[in-house]
Amino acid sequence: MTNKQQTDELPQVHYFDYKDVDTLKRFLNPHGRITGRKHTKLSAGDQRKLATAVKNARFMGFLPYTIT
Amino acid sequence: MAEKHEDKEGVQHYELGYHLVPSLGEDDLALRVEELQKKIASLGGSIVSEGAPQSFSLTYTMRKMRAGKWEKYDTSFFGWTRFTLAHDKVDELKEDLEHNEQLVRYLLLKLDKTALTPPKVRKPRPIKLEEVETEAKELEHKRDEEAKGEVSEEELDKQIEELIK
Repeated sequence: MTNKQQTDELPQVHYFDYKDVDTLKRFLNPHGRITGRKHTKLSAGDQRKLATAVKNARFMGFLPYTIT
Repeated sequence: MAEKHEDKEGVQHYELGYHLVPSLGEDDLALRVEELQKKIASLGGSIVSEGAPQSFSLTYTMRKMRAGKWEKYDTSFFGWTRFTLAHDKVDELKEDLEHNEQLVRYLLLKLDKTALTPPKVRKPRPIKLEEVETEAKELEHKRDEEAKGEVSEEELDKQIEELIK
């Protein structure tokens, strides 16, 4: 079954750069958490690269750790 | 694990992102960046590309211990530089960065192959001759049908009469 709510297609990313906040934000949910593979449709390796980039972006103050 | 992009002589590509303290003036900024570049050069590295430090508002307040006191930062000057360096010299660079009083925070990344290569652009699919021929045939078929579709009124009347009989 397909999820009809997921109408917006996520961009195809060659390299997840921690400085590219706009791209990274598209892979986060409204609470600032990294969305799962079911939503991102990334390979396991790319999902890990996304997670690392988001964590680096948080460390460097580009993204918040939590959004309340 | 990220793929290593290492040359034969043990030279690796790195990216250094850094937050400089917001109290620096324009002249000081240029001086601090030059110092960093000189440090990399002195270790035998060469700079590939860089982004000049720009004022940046942090998404959360950062703290750094200076002289026994926590100092808080809401803004900073963020800059980055990509360079090549022998992997055995990285520890020396890290130690220098740790003791740099002008830095709020820094991030040193080892760049993998995907970061260094431009994204592949897909070539448009070449159109096969067979497809062109089938399309042409379909068009011809459609035209024939359209041509057949035009029937005069007299013929229509005859056909209707035959059906009634």
